[in-house]
Amino acid sequence: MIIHIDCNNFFASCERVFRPELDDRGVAVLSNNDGCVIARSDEVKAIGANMAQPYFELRDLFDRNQVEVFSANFSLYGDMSRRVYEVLSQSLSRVEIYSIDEVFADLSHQAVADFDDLAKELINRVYRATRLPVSIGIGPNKTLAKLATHLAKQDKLRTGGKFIINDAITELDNELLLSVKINDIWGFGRAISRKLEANNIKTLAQLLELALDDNLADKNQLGFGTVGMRTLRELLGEKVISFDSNPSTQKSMMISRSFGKSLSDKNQLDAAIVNFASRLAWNLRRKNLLARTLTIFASASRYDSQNFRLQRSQTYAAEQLINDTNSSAEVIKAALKGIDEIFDPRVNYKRAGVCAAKTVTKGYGRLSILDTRANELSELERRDHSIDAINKRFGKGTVRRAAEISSNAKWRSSRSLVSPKYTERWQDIPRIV
Amino acid sequence: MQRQSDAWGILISSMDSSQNDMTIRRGFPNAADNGKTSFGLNINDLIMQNPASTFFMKVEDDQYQELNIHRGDYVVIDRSVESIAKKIVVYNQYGEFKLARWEDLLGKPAELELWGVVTWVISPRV
Repeated sequence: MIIHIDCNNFFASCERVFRPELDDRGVAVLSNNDGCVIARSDEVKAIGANMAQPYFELRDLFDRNQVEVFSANFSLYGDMSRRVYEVLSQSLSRVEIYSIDEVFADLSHQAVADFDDLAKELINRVYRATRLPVSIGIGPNKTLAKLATHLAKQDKLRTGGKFIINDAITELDNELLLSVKINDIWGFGRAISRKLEANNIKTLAQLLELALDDNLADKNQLGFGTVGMRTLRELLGEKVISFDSNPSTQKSMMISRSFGKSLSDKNQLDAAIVNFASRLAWNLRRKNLLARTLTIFASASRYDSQNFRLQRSQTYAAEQLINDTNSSAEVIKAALKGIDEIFDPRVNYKRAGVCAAKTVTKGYGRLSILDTRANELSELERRDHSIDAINKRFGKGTVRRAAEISSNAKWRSSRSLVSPKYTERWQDIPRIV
Repeated sequence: MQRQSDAWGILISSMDSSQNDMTIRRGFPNAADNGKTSFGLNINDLIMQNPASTFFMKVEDDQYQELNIHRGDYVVIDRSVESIAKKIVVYNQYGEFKLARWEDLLGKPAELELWGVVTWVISPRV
Protein backbone atom coordinates (compact mmCIF):
# COMPACT_ATOMS: atom_id res chain seq x y z
CA MET A 1 0.00 0.00 0.00
CA ILE A 2 1.10 3.53 -0.73
CA ILE A 3 0.60 6.38 1.70
CA HIS A 4 0.26 10.00 0.59
CA ILE A 5 0.67 12.84 3.08
CA ASP A 6 -0.37 16.33 2.11
CA CYS A 7 -0.21 19.50 4.21
CA ASN A 8 -3.48 21.41 4.31
CA ASN A 9 -3.23 24.86 2.70
CA PHE A 10 0.49 24.64 3.28
CA PHE A 11 1.74 28.23 2.95
CA ALA A 12 -1.25 29.61 4.83
CA SER A 13 -0.79 27.03 7.57
CA CYS A 14 2.89 27.89 7.86
CA GLU A 15 1.97 31.51 8.51
CA ARG A 16 -0.31 30.40 11.32
CA VAL A 17 2.38 28.44 13.14
CA PHE A 18 3.83 31.57 14.71
CA ARG A 19 0.55 33.47 14.62
CA PRO A 20 -1.86 31.00 16.24
CA GLU A 21 -4.40 33.78 16.77
CA LEU A 22 -5.01 33.61 13.00
CA ASP A 23 -6.51 30.13 13.27
CA ASP A 24 -10.06 31.42 13.06
CA ARG A 25 -9.41 34.11 10.48
CA GLY A 26 -8.86 33.79 6.77
CA VAL A 27 -5.21 33.70 5.69
CA ALA A 28 -4.02 34.25 2.12
CA VAL A 29 -0.51 34.19 0.67
CA LEU A 30 0.53 36.14 -2.41
CA SER A 31 3.07 35.38 -5.11
CA ASN A 32 6.14 37.47 -5.93
CA ASN A 33 5.27 41.13 -6.28
CA ASP A 34 2.14 40.43 -4.32
CA GLY A 35 0.60 39.62 -7.65
CA CYS A 36 -1.78 36.78 -7.12
CA VAL A 37 -3.04 34.38 -4.52
CA ILE A 38 -0.98 31.23 -4.19
CA ALA A 39 -2.42 29.90 -0.97
CA ARG A 40 -5.75 30.20 0.78
CA SER A 41 -6.96 28.97 4.13
CA ASP A 42 -10.36 27.26 4.16
CA GLU A 43 -12.06 30.52 5.17
CA VAL A 44 -10.63 32.30 2.15
CA LYS A 45 -11.75 29.50 -0.16
CA ALA A 46 -15.21 29.80 1.36
CA ILE A 47 -15.59 33.48 0.52
CA GLY A 48 -14.88 32.78 -3.13
CA ALA A 49 -11.25 33.68 -3.72
CA ASN A 50 -9.73 31.47 -6.41
CA MET A 51 -6.24 30.11 -6.70
CA ALA A 52 -4.02 32.37 -8.83
CA GLN A 53 -6.55 35.15 -8.75
CA PRO A 54 -4.88 38.60 -8.90
CA TYR A 55 -4.67 40.33 -5.54
CA PHE A 56 -6.00 43.64 -6.81
CA GLU A 57 -9.27 41.89 -7.64
CA LEU A 58 -9.58 40.53 -4.12
CA ARG A 59 -8.39 43.38 -1.95
CA ASP A 60 -11.85 44.62 -1.03
CA LEU A 61 -13.20 41.16 -0.39
CA PHE A 62 -10.27 40.43 1.91
CA ASP A 63 -10.64 43.71 3.77
CA ARG A 64 -14.31 43.12 4.38
CA ASN A 65 -13.66 39.64 5.71
CA GLN A 66 -10.64 40.49 7.83
CA VAL A 67 -8.40 38.16 5.87
CA GLU A 68 -4.77 38.37 6.89
CA VAL A 69 -2.66 38.64 3.75
CA PHE A 70 1.01 37.71 3.49
CA SER A 71 3.67 37.97 0.81
CA ALA A 72 5.25 34.59 0.18
CA ASN A 73 7.95 33.66 2.66
CA PHE A 74 9.62 30.76 0.91
CA SER A 75 12.42 30.64 3.43
CA LEU A 76 9.89 29.81 6.14
CA TYR A 77 7.95 27.35 3.99
CA GLY A 78 11.10 25.52 2.97
CA ASP A 79 12.17 25.10 6.56
CA MET A 80 8.75 23.92 7.74
CA SER A 81 8.64 21.47 4.84
CA ARG A 82 11.96 20.05 5.96
CA ARG A 83 10.57 19.57 9.45
CA VAL A 84 7.50 17.72 8.23
CA TYR A 85 9.70 15.44 6.15
CA GLU A 86 11.92 14.74 9.17
CA VAL A 87 8.99 13.84 11.40
CA LEU A 88 7.55 11.50 8.77
CA SER A 89 10.92 9.88 8.20
CA GLN A 90 10.99 8.88 11.84
CA SER A 91 8.07 6.52 11.21
CA LEU A 92 8.22 5.76 7.51
CA SER A 93 11.05 4.29 5.57
CA ARG A 94 11.82 5.52 2.04
CA VAL A 95 9.81 8.69 2.00
CA GLU A 96 9.62 10.16 -1.48
CA ILE A 97 9.29 13.92 -1.63
CA TYR A 98 6.74 14.82 -4.28
CA SER A 99 6.53 18.56 -3.71
CA ILE A 100 7.12 21.11 -1.00
CA ASP A 101 4.07 19.92 0.88
CA GLU A 102 3.44 16.36 -0.29
CA VAL A 103 5.20 13.06 0.18
CA PHE A 104 4.59 9.46 -0.75
CA ALA A 105 5.86 6.41 1.09
CA ASP A 106 5.68 2.74 0.27
CA LEU A 107 4.22 0.86 3.19
CA SER A 108 5.02 -2.57 1.82
CA HIS A 109 8.48 -2.31 3.27
CA GLN A 110 7.32 -2.08 6.82
CA ALA A 111 4.95 -3.92 9.06
CA VAL A 112 1.76 -1.93 9.53
CA ALA A 113 -0.78 -3.28 11.93
CA ASP A 114 -3.59 -0.87 11.16
CA PHE A 115 -3.58 1.76 8.44
CA ASP A 116 -6.14 3.91 10.15
CA ASP A 117 -4.11 3.98 13.36
CA LEU A 118 -0.97 4.78 11.41
CA ALA A 119 -2.65 7.70 9.67
CA LYS A 120 -4.00 9.06 12.93
CA GLU A 121 -0.62 8.76 14.59
CA LEU A 122 1.19 10.52 11.75
CA ILE A 123 -1.30 13.39 11.70
CA ASN A 124 -0.83 13.86 15.43
CA ARG A 125 2.94 13.62 15.34
CA VAL A 126 3.29 16.13 12.51
CA TYR A 127 0.94 18.58 14.21
CA ARG A 128 2.66 18.14 17.54
CA ALA A 129 6.11 18.81 16.15
CA THR A 130 5.31 21.53 13.62
CA ARG A 131 1.75 22.76 14.23
CA LEU A 132 0.94 21.93 10.63
CA PRO A 133 -2.27 20.07 9.80
CA VAL A 134 -1.90 17.32 7.22
CA SER A 135 -4.28 15.00 5.42
CA ILE A 136 -3.46 11.41 4.64
CA GLY A 137 -4.59 9.05 1.89
CA ILE A 138 -3.73 5.38 1.66
CA GLY A 139 -4.28 3.20 -1.38
CA PRO A 140 -2.83 0.34 -3.41
CA ASN A 141 -1.07 2.77 -5.76
CA LYS A 142 -0.09 6.42 -6.00
CA THR A 143 -3.16 7.56 -7.93
CA LEU A 144 -5.54 6.01 -5.43
CA ALA A 145 -3.51 7.24 -2.47
CA LYS A 146 -3.71 10.77 -3.82
CA LEU A 147 -7.41 10.38 -4.54
CA ALA A 148 -7.86 9.17 -0.97
CA THR A 149 -6.15 12.30 0.33
CA HIS A 150 -8.48 14.39 -1.78
CA LEU A 151 -11.46 12.60 -0.24
CA ALA A 152 -9.97 13.03 3.21
CA LYS A 153 -9.70 16.79 2.71
CA GLN A 154 -13.11 17.16 1.14
CA ASP A 155 -14.93 16.41 4.36
CA LYS A 156 -12.41 16.77 7.17
CA LEU A 157 -15.01 16.67 9.91
CA ARG A 158 -16.22 13.28 8.80
CA THR A 159 -12.92 11.73 7.75
CA GLY A 160 -10.70 13.11 10.49
CA GLY A 161 -8.25 14.10 7.76
CA LYS A 162 -7.61 10.53 6.57
CA PHE A 163 -9.05 8.13 4.03
CA ILE A 164 -8.19 4.62 2.96
CA ILE A 165 -9.01 3.01 -0.38
CA ASN A 166 -8.43 -0.71 -0.14
CA ASP A 167 -8.65 -1.90 -3.75
CA ALA A 168 -10.07 0.52 -6.31
CA ILE A 169 -12.68 3.21 -6.93
CA THR A 170 -15.26 0.46 -7.36
CA GLU A 171 -15.56 0.21 -3.58
CA LEU A 172 -16.49 3.88 -3.13
CA ASP A 173 -20.14 4.76 -2.69
CA ASN A 174 -21.94 6.71 -5.38
CA GLU A 175 -22.21 9.90 -3.38
CA LEU A 176 -18.43 10.05 -3.08
CA LEU A 177 -17.91 9.21 -6.75
CA LEU A 178 -20.21 12.02 -7.78
CA SER A 179 -18.34 14.50 -5.62
CA VAL A 180 -15.04 14.04 -7.47
CA LYS A 181 -14.66 16.02 -10.69
CA ILE A 182 -12.42 14.67 -13.43
CA ASN A 183 -10.12 17.65 -13.03
CA ASP A 184 -9.61 16.79 -9.36
CA ILE A 185 -7.97 13.51 -10.23
CA TRP A 186 -4.19 13.42 -10.31
CA GLY A 187 -3.19 12.39 -13.81
CA PHE A 188 -6.11 14.02 -15.60
CA GLY A 189 -5.22 17.49 -16.74
CA ARG A 190 -7.26 20.21 -18.31
CA ALA A 191 -7.08 18.75 -21.82
CA ILE A 192 -8.44 15.36 -20.89
CA SER A 193 -11.01 16.88 -18.55
CA ARG A 194 -12.38 19.00 -21.39
CA LYS A 195 -12.52 16.06 -23.79
CA LEU A 196 -14.34 13.92 -21.27
CA GLU A 197 -16.72 16.69 -20.35
CA ALA A 198 -17.57 17.04 -24.02
CA ASN A 199 -18.56 13.39 -23.86
CA ASN A 200 -20.66 14.06 -20.78
CA ILE A 201 -18.20 12.51 -18.35
CA LYS A 202 -17.81 15.04 -15.57
CA THR A 203 -17.39 13.07 -12.40
CA LEU A 204 -15.65 9.95 -11.21
CA ALA A 205 -19.02 8.22 -11.12
CA GLN A 206 -19.50 8.65 -14.85
CA LEU A 207 -15.91 7.69 -15.54
CA LEU A 208 -16.36 4.46 -13.63
CA GLU A 209 -19.52 3.68 -15.58
CA LEU A 210 -17.58 4.14 -18.78
CA ALA A 211 -14.69 2.02 -17.59
CA LEU A 212 -16.93 -0.86 -16.61
CA ASP A 213 -19.09 -0.81 -19.72
CA ASP A 214 -16.69 -1.15 -22.63
CA ASN A 215 -13.39 -2.78 -23.35
CA LEU A 216 -10.46 -0.88 -21.96
CA ALA A 217 -8.89 -0.58 -25.41
CA ASP A 218 -11.70 1.62 -26.73
CA LYS A 219 -10.99 4.29 -24.16
CA ASN A 220 -8.16 5.50 -26.33
CA GLN A 221 -10.69 7.03 -28.67
CA LEU A 222 -11.63 9.46 -25.96
CA GLY A 223 -8.12 10.83 -26.11
CA PHE A 224 -6.76 9.57 -22.83
CA GLY A 225 -3.17 9.41 -23.94
CA THR A 226 -0.44 7.51 -22.10
CA VAL A 227 -0.75 9.36 -18.82
CA GLY A 228 -4.53 9.27 -18.91
CA MET A 229 -4.62 5.53 -19.54
CA ARG A 230 -2.13 4.95 -16.78
CA THR A 231 -4.29 6.95 -14.40
CA LEU A 232 -7.42 5.08 -15.42
CA ARG A 233 -5.78 1.72 -14.85
CA GLU A 234 -4.55 2.85 -11.47
CA LEU A 235 -8.01 4.04 -10.52
CA LEU A 236 -9.19 0.53 -11.25
CA GLY A 237 -6.64 -0.95 -8.88
CA GLU A 238 -3.59 -1.73 -11.00
CA LYS A 239 -0.20 -0.60 -9.77
CA VAL A 240 1.31 1.09 -12.82
CA ILE A 241 3.29 4.09 -11.58
CA SER A 242 6.50 2.90 -10.04
CA PHE A 243 7.70 3.99 -6.69
CA ASP A 244 10.50 6.31 -7.52
CA SER A 245 13.04 6.25 -4.76
CA ASN A 246 15.62 7.57 -7.18
CA PRO A 247 13.90 10.28 -9.18
CA SER A 248 15.43 11.01 -12.57
CA THR A 249 17.72 13.97 -12.96
CA GLN A 250 16.29 17.36 -13.52
CA LYS A 251 16.16 18.29 -17.19
CA SER A 252 15.93 22.06 -16.89
CA MET A 253 16.11 24.87 -14.41
CA MET A 254 14.81 28.38 -14.61
CA ILE A 255 14.97 31.57 -12.65
CA SER A 256 12.48 34.21 -13.63
CA ARG A 257 10.90 37.08 -11.81
CA SER A 258 8.46 39.83 -12.50
CA PHE A 259 9.77 43.27 -11.61
CA GLY A 260 8.54 45.56 -8.87
CA LYS A 261 8.41 48.38 -11.40
CA SER A 262 8.63 47.96 -15.17
CA LEU A 263 11.94 48.85 -16.74
CA SER A 264 13.00 50.12 -20.10
CA ASP A 265 16.55 50.92 -19.09
CA LYS A 266 19.06 48.41 -20.46
CA ASN A 267 21.46 48.74 -17.53
CA GLN A 268 18.80 47.85 -15.03
CA LEU A 269 17.61 44.96 -17.15
CA ASP A 270 21.21 43.76 -17.41
CA ALA A 271 21.58 43.97 -13.63
CA ALA A 272 18.51 41.83 -13.16
CA ILE A 273 19.68 39.30 -15.77
CA VAL A 274 23.13 39.07 -14.19
CA ASN A 275 21.49 38.41 -10.83
CA PHE A 276 19.27 35.68 -12.27
CA ALA A 277 22.13 34.15 -14.24
CA SER A 278 24.49 33.98 -11.29
CA ARG A 279 21.79 32.49 -9.08
CA LEU A 280 20.99 29.97 -11.77
CA ALA A 281 24.64 29.01 -12.04
CA TRP A 282 24.87 28.66 -8.27
CA ASN A 283 21.78 26.43 -8.22
CA LEU A 284 23.25 24.30 -10.99
CA ARG A 285 26.46 23.88 -9.03
CA ARG A 286 24.54 23.01 -5.90
CA LYS A 287 22.73 20.23 -7.70
CA ASN A 288 25.82 19.17 -9.58
CA LEU A 289 24.26 19.87 -12.95
CA LEU A 290 25.61 21.39 -16.13
CA ALA A 291 23.57 23.31 -18.68
CA ARG A 292 23.85 22.83 -22.39
CA THR A 293 21.59 25.64 -23.61
CA LEU A 294 20.50 28.84 -22.05
CA THR A 295 17.26 30.58 -22.96
CA ILE A 296 16.80 34.19 -22.04
CA PHE A 297 13.48 35.99 -22.17
CA ALA A 298 12.11 39.35 -21.23
CA SER A 299 8.54 40.42 -21.63
CA ALA A 300 6.20 43.28 -21.03
CA SER A 301 3.26 43.14 -18.68
CA ARG A 302 0.56 40.98 -20.14
CA TYR A 303 -1.94 43.61 -19.05
CA ASP A 304 -0.24 46.23 -21.18
CA SER A 305 -1.46 45.21 -24.60
CA GLN A 306 0.32 47.81 -26.70
CA ASN A 307 3.66 47.04 -25.21
CA PHE A 308 3.18 43.35 -25.47
CA ARG A 309 2.60 43.43 -29.21
CA LEU A 310 5.88 45.20 -29.81
CA GLN A 311 8.11 42.50 -28.54
CA ARG A 312 6.04 39.45 -29.32
CA SER A 313 8.31 38.15 -32.05
CA GLN A 314 11.62 38.53 -30.36
CA THR A 315 11.01 37.48 -26.80
CA TYR A 316 13.42 34.61 -26.64
CA ALA A 317 17.08 34.14 -27.32
CA ALA A 318 18.60 30.73 -27.07
CA GLU A 319 22.29 30.57 -26.53
CA GLN A 320 24.18 27.38 -27.14
CA LEU A 321 26.89 27.16 -24.57
CA ILE A 322 30.21 25.98 -25.93
CA ASN A 323 30.60 23.55 -23.13
CA ASP A 324 28.14 22.07 -20.78
CA THR A 325 28.75 24.42 -17.93
CA ASN A 326 27.66 25.68 -14.57
CA SER A 327 30.25 28.38 -14.24
CA SER A 328 28.82 31.76 -13.29
CA ALA A 329 31.08 33.62 -15.69
CA GLU A 330 29.99 31.59 -18.70
CA VAL A 331 26.30 31.59 -17.84
CA ILE A 332 26.34 35.34 -17.22
CA LYS A 333 28.19 36.00 -20.44
CA ALA A 334 25.68 33.99 -22.44
CA ALA A 335 22.74 35.60 -20.65
CA LEU A 336 23.96 39.11 -21.40
CA LYS A 337 24.52 38.19 -25.02
CA GLY A 338 20.95 36.93 -25.16
CA ILE A 339 19.53 40.09 -23.67
CA ASP A 340 21.51 42.17 -26.14
CA GLU A 341 19.82 40.28 -28.95
CA ILE A 342 16.27 40.76 -27.79
CA PHE A 343 16.32 44.13 -26.05
CA ASP A 344 14.03 46.77 -27.49
CA PRO A 345 14.23 50.23 -25.89
CA ARG A 346 10.59 50.93 -26.72
CA VAL A 347 9.34 48.19 -24.44
CA ASN A 348 8.52 48.49 -20.72
CA TYR A 349 9.72 45.18 -19.40
CA LYS A 350 7.84 43.66 -16.53
CA ARG A 351 9.38 40.23 -16.36
CA ALA A 352 12.56 38.46 -17.36
CA GLY A 353 14.16 35.13 -16.86
CA VAL A 354 17.04 32.82 -17.56
CA CYS A 355 16.46 29.15 -18.22
CA ALA A 356 19.02 26.37 -18.42
CA ALA A 357 17.81 23.59 -20.69
CA LYS A 358 19.19 20.15 -21.34
CA THR A 359 20.87 19.93 -18.00
CA VAL A 360 23.12 16.96 -17.39
CA THR A 361 24.80 15.64 -14.31
CA LYS A 362 28.35 16.79 -13.96
CA GLY A 363 30.67 14.08 -15.10
CA TYR A 364 28.47 13.23 -18.04
CA GLY A 365 28.79 16.52 -19.90
CA ARG A 366 30.75 17.08 -23.03
CA LEU A 367 33.75 19.18 -23.50
CA SER A 368 33.89 20.58 -26.98
CA ILE A 369 37.04 19.79 -28.95
CA LEU A 370 36.86 23.37 -30.14
CA ASP A 371 37.36 24.52 -26.60
CA THR A 372 41.01 24.94 -25.73
CA ARG A 373 40.36 26.65 -22.45
CA ALA A 374 40.66 23.64 -20.15
CA ASN A 375 42.90 25.51 -17.72
CA GLU A 376 40.77 28.59 -17.73
CA LEU A 377 37.71 26.47 -16.96
CA SER A 378 39.12 24.96 -13.81
CA GLU A 379 40.27 28.44 -12.80
CA LEU A 380 36.66 29.57 -13.23
CA GLU A 381 35.55 26.59 -11.20
CA ARG A 382 37.84 27.49 -8.35
CA ARG A 383 36.72 31.07 -8.36
CA ASP A 384 33.07 30.00 -8.29
CA HIS A 385 33.86 27.61 -5.48
CA SER A 386 35.46 30.37 -3.39
CA ILE A 387 32.63 32.77 -3.97
CA ASP A 388 30.06 30.08 -3.18
CA ALA A 389 31.88 29.33 0.07
CA ILE A 390 31.84 32.96 1.15
CA ASN A 391 28.20 33.46 0.21
CA LYS A 392 27.28 30.28 2.02
CA ARG A 393 28.99 31.41 5.19
CA PHE A 394 28.05 35.09 5.25
CA GLY A 395 24.81 35.06 3.33
CA LYS A 396 23.70 35.06 -0.29
CA GLY A 397 24.75 38.18 -2.09
CA THR A 398 27.79 38.95 0.06
CA VAL A 399 29.93 38.68 -3.02
CA ARG A 400 28.30 39.68 -6.28
CA ARG A 401 29.38 40.59 -9.75
CA ALA A 402 29.81 44.35 -10.27
CA ALA A 403 27.35 44.19 -13.16
CA GLU A 404 24.65 43.06 -10.77
CA ILE A 405 24.71 46.22 -8.78
CA SER A 406 22.47 48.86 -10.22
CA SER A 407 21.70 52.12 -8.52
CA ASN A 408 18.24 51.50 -7.20
CA ALA A 409 17.52 47.89 -8.21
CA LYS A 410 14.08 48.75 -9.52
CA TRP A 411 13.67 45.20 -10.66
CA ARG A 412 13.52 43.70 -7.19
CA SER A 413 10.05 42.50 -6.36
CA SER A 414 7.95 44.27 -3.80
CA ARG A 415 7.00 41.95 -0.97
CA SER A 416 5.56 44.32 1.48
CA LEU A 417 3.59 41.85 3.56
CA VAL A 418 6.21 39.21 4.18
CA SER A 419 6.39 37.62 7.61
CA PRO A 420 9.68 37.25 9.52
CA LYS A 421 11.97 34.33 8.79
CA TYR A 422 11.11 32.89 12.17
CA THR A 423 13.27 29.82 11.76
CA GLU A 424 16.06 30.98 9.48
CA ARG A 425 17.24 34.32 10.78
CA TRP A 426 18.25 35.03 14.36
CA GLN A 427 16.93 38.57 14.13
CA ASP A 428 13.54 37.22 13.13
CA ILE A 429 12.85 34.61 15.78
CA PRO A 430 9.59 35.01 17.74
CA ARG A 431 9.64 37.21 20.82
CA ILE A 432 8.39 36.32 24.25
CA VAL A 433 6.78 39.31 25.92
CA MET B 1 53.24 27.78 0.38
CA GLN B 2 52.86 30.78 2.64
CA ARG B 3 52.13 30.30 6.27
CA GLN B 4 50.98 32.83 8.77
CA SER B 5 50.67 32.26 12.50
CA ASP B 6 49.23 34.46 15.14
CA ALA B 7 50.78 35.08 18.53
CA TRP B 8 49.57 31.77 19.84
CA GLY B 9 51.44 29.88 17.19
CA ILE B 10 48.25 28.53 15.69
CA LEU B 11 48.33 28.32 11.94
CA ILE B 12 45.66 30.78 10.94
CA SER B 13 45.72 30.52 7.22
CA SER B 14 47.46 28.57 4.61
CA MET B 15 47.59 30.05 1.16
CA ASP B 16 48.19 27.09 -0.99
CA SER B 17 48.43 28.47 -4.47
CA SER B 18 47.60 25.17 -6.04
CA GLN B 19 44.22 25.24 -4.35
CA ASN B 20 43.21 28.87 -4.39
CA ASP B 21 40.32 28.44 -2.02
CA MET B 22 39.15 30.10 1.13
CA THR B 23 39.29 27.32 3.70
CA ILE B 24 41.01 28.21 6.90
CA ARG B 25 43.07 25.49 8.47
CA ARG B 26 44.01 25.18 12.08
CA GLY B 27 46.44 22.92 13.81
CA PHE B 28 48.50 20.26 12.15
CA PRO B 29 46.97 17.57 10.00
CA ASN B 30 47.35 14.30 11.86
CA ALA B 31 46.16 10.76 12.08
CA ALA B 32 43.37 11.64 14.52
CA ASP B 33 41.57 13.62 11.83
CA ASN B 34 40.46 10.57 9.96
CA GLY B 35 38.79 12.53 7.18
CA LYS B 36 36.69 14.71 9.47
CA THR B 37 35.52 17.94 7.95
CA SER B 38 34.23 19.66 11.07
CA PHE B 39 36.07 19.81 14.29
CA GLY B 40 35.30 20.60 17.88
CA LEU B 41 31.95 20.62 19.54
CA ASN B 42 28.68 21.47 17.86
CA ILE B 43 26.19 22.99 20.27
CA ASN B 44 23.29 21.63 18.21
CA ASP B 45 24.19 18.14 19.36
CA LEU B 46 23.72 19.29 22.91
CA ILE B 47 20.51 21.24 22.72
CA MET B 48 18.58 19.64 19.90
CA GLN B 49 17.03 16.34 20.78
CA ASN B 50 14.53 16.57 17.96
CA PRO B 51 15.52 19.21 15.39
CA ALA B 52 12.19 18.94 13.55
CA SER B 53 10.29 20.17 16.61
CA THR B 54 12.91 22.56 18.01
CA PHE B 55 12.50 26.31 17.75
CA PHE B 56 14.21 29.37 19.20
CA MET B 57 12.60 32.40 20.79
CA LYS B 58 13.94 35.53 22.39
CA VAL B 59 12.77 36.89 25.73
CA GLU B 60 11.97 40.57 25.70
CA ASP B 61 10.29 41.08 29.03
CA ASP B 62 11.45 41.31 32.64
CA GLN B 63 8.55 39.55 34.27
CA TYR B 64 10.11 36.10 34.32
CA GLN B 65 12.77 36.69 37.02
CA GLU B 66 11.08 34.14 39.23
CA LEU B 67 11.69 31.52 36.56
CA ASN B 68 15.28 32.71 36.40
CA ILE B 69 14.76 33.83 32.81
CA HIS B 70 15.73 37.37 31.91
CA ARG B 71 15.28 39.84 29.14
CA GLY B 72 17.80 39.15 26.40
CA ASP B 73 17.83 35.41 27.04
CA TYR B 74 17.18 32.97 24.25
CA VAL B 75 15.00 29.96 24.92
CA VAL B 76 15.08 26.67 23.11
CA ILE B 77 11.60 25.29 22.65
CA ASP B 78 10.77 21.71 21.88
CA ARG B 79 7.21 20.95 20.86
CA SER B 80 7.62 17.23 21.16
CA VAL B 81 8.55 16.90 24.83
CA GLU B 82 6.14 14.41 26.34
CA SER B 83 6.06 15.14 30.05
CA ILE B 84 5.28 18.72 30.91
CA ALA B 85 4.82 18.39 34.65
CA LYS B 86 6.82 21.07 36.46
CA LYS B 87 8.31 22.31 33.17
CA ILE B 88 8.42 25.87 31.92
CA VAL B 89 6.24 26.16 28.87
CA VAL B 90 5.71 28.75 26.17
CA TYR B 91 2.12 29.50 25.29
CA ASN B 92 0.33 31.91 23.02
CA GLN B 93 -2.45 34.15 24.24
CA TYR B 94 -4.11 36.83 22.12
CA GLY B 95 -1.27 36.73 19.65
CA GLU B 96 1.58 36.96 22.17
CA PHE B 97 4.06 34.34 23.24
CA LYS B 98 4.52 34.07 27.00
CA LEU B 99 6.19 31.80 29.53
CA ALA B 100 4.84 30.10 32.62
CA ARG B 101 5.22 27.00 34.73
CA TRP B 102 2.79 24.44 33.44
CA GLU B 103 1.12 24.15 36.85
CA ASP B 104 0.41 27.88 36.92
CA LEU B 105 -1.39 27.68 33.60
CA LEU B 106 -3.89 25.12 34.75
CA GLY B 107 -5.87 27.67 36.69
CA LYS B 108 -5.97 30.26 33.91
CA PRO B 109 -8.98 31.00 31.74
CA ALA B 110 -9.11 29.41 28.31
CA GLU B 111 -8.11 31.29 25.14
CA LEU B 112 -4.55 30.21 25.30
CA GLU B 113 -2.60 27.67 23.32
CA LEU B 114 0.21 25.62 24.73
CA TRP B 115 2.97 26.01 22.18
CA GLY B 116 6.00 24.14 23.50
CA VAL B 117 8.32 23.27 26.37
CA VAL B 118 11.41 25.26 27.27
CA THR B 119 14.32 22.84 27.23
CA TRP B 120 17.25 25.24 27.41
CA VAL B 121 17.81 28.86 28.28
CA ILE B 122 20.78 30.55 26.67
CA SER B 123 21.70 33.55 28.73
CA PRO B 124 24.41 35.98 27.63
CA ARG B 125 26.87 37.10 30.25
CA VAL B 126 28.81 39.70 28.34
